[in-house]
Amino acid sequence: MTQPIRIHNDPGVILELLNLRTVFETRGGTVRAVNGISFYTRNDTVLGVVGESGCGKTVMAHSILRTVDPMGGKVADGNIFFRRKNGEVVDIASLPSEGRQLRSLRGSEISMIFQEPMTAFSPVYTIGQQIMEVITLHQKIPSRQAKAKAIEMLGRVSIPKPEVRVDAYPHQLSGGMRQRAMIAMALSCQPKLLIADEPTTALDVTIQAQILELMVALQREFEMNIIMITHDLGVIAELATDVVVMYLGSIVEKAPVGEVYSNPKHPYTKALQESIPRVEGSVSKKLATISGSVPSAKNIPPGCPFHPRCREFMQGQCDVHVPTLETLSADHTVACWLYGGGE
Amino acid sequence: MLAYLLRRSVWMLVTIVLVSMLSFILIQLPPGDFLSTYIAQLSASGQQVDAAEVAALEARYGLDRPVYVQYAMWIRGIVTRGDFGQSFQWNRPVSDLIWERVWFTVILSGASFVFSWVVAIPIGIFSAVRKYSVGDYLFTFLGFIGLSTPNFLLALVLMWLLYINFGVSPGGLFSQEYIDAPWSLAKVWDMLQHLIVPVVVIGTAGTAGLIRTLRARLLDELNRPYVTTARAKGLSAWKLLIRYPVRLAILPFISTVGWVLPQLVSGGIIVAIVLNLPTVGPMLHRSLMSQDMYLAGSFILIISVLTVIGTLVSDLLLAWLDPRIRYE
Repeated sequence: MTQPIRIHNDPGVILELLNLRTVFETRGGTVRAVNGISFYTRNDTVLGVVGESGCGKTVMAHSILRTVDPMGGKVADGNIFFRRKNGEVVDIASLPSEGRQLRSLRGSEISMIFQEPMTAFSPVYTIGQQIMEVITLHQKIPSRQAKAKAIEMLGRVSIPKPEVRVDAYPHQLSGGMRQRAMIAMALSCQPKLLIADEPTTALDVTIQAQILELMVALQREFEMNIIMITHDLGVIAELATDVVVMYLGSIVEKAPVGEVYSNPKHPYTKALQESIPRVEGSVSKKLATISGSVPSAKNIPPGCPFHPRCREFMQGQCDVHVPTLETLSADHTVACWLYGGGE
Repeated sequence: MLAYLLRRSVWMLVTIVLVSMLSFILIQLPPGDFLSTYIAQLSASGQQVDAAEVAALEARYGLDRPVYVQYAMWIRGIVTRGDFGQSFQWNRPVSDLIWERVWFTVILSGASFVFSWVVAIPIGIFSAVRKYSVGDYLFTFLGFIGLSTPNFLLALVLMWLLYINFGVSPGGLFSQEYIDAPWSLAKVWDMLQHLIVPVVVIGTAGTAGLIRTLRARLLDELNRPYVTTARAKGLSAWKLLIRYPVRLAILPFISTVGWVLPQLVSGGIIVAIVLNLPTVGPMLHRSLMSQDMYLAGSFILIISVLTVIGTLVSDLLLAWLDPRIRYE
């Protein structure tokens, strides 16, 4: 079944993945980390990608920047259409690995921030040097100007005394400050798309809230799109406009954030909802969990990948046929046999 | 920083004093001294030894005094007059004998050091980046051969190969006609030609270990998150490699810079003897055998001074290259 390619017809779409497959060839077999996913994201949105550890969300993110290649992964199939600043649409999946065109996108039009602010900076260069590097790489400006720009960016992410901190080494900053500096670095070339891979997971809760607030504010200010990858539904609720739920390398549900919370369709999304600890209600009630654990991506179950853990499993259907994404309403799609998908 | 330098200098001085004392005592520990060995040699060849003459010699060299007085006299001579004492065996002032050899040793160890880094670093990087490739296995194989071949054997083989193919006899550091000639460009050129074999031989010994260590260190660094961050900035593969993982993988090697000299002096003696090199090693070896104590003591003193300075330099270098290290 061919899916419509929206990005060519709708200038509001800036990224569209079509049937993307990313695999890792290992001695133990082929790991299908991303197993045929399609979605698109529109201008000025924050797309939340949720799923358990190992569902392929991080690999999906690294596939978009093709930083998955040096990790031993390979975009085996599918397209990653991206609308550049000049309006041109490129298929990132077809660009040569580590080639010039790919590198001109990285850091300049698509940026990425990571989970571990402790280790995401090189310890031997100052924060300023590392920010200036990305600026001078993509914009032909003298280093004095780049430094001024770096200081300005550090100020924009609310780092106090940016003109002093610009010369600080990463180990001289706290975790929260480092993550702010990371955001400053990612935004220093005004990218159109920011991919944030669990940016707050390593931080404590109060710092988490500050960083999320900052990201919301910057998203509006810079008019960019954010893909927020997380396992934390609370983060999604705070930030996202749309949500993609991933399970074992596939998308099981995509919907606006309100729909996901008020009207989840897929049994996996429902189960995730129920496993969020709630402040109100009876304390003695045991927190709901999802039975079983995530199977290995080397050995994806036949049919619907979620069927061994599903409460609404239908013998002979779910374990045999793969459900495809079914459109329920304009923005709400789900891959589940309960909703008749697949024809 | 200045306070740190000052404190380090004081400790360096203490270290040097202790090393010189210890080595002076150690040299004198075996029974007898140079004179008794000398007298025994004379008697063995049937010559008469005059007791008065022996006493005069003892008095002249201070051998009838206790060890600590001898040591004090020796150090005072060095500090006040730059006089390192007299070599018994050569019957010449020590300072006439050693300086040239010390410089040759420094030149040779410096050149071997540069050689092994220039060879090992690119190979180490290649081996890490192309892990388990044919090239990696080939270099690993060669490296282990290099590691397990005794240096002196390699020296002999290289000398033989050079002689067979080019007709040059690479023993020593100079050709016959230049040994006593004054310094000139031609003499330097001659020396450089002679340096090749010893530099390759001495350098190869460390190269294999260096390659393996760098490979392992770099493999650790290649998967660090900061490398992915840098890649996501759009850096080219080569710039990325050099500026990020290699820059960190290289740090531990900087701290080994200071060890180069003592390693060469103690480890390179056999090579120096085989290759007939005018370095410190063989002369130190001989002076220890004959209890030529001022000569041996002076060598050890100068080498320890150079080593302590080398260590300071490598520490400062490391502090400069790794901002996480800071001295209060």
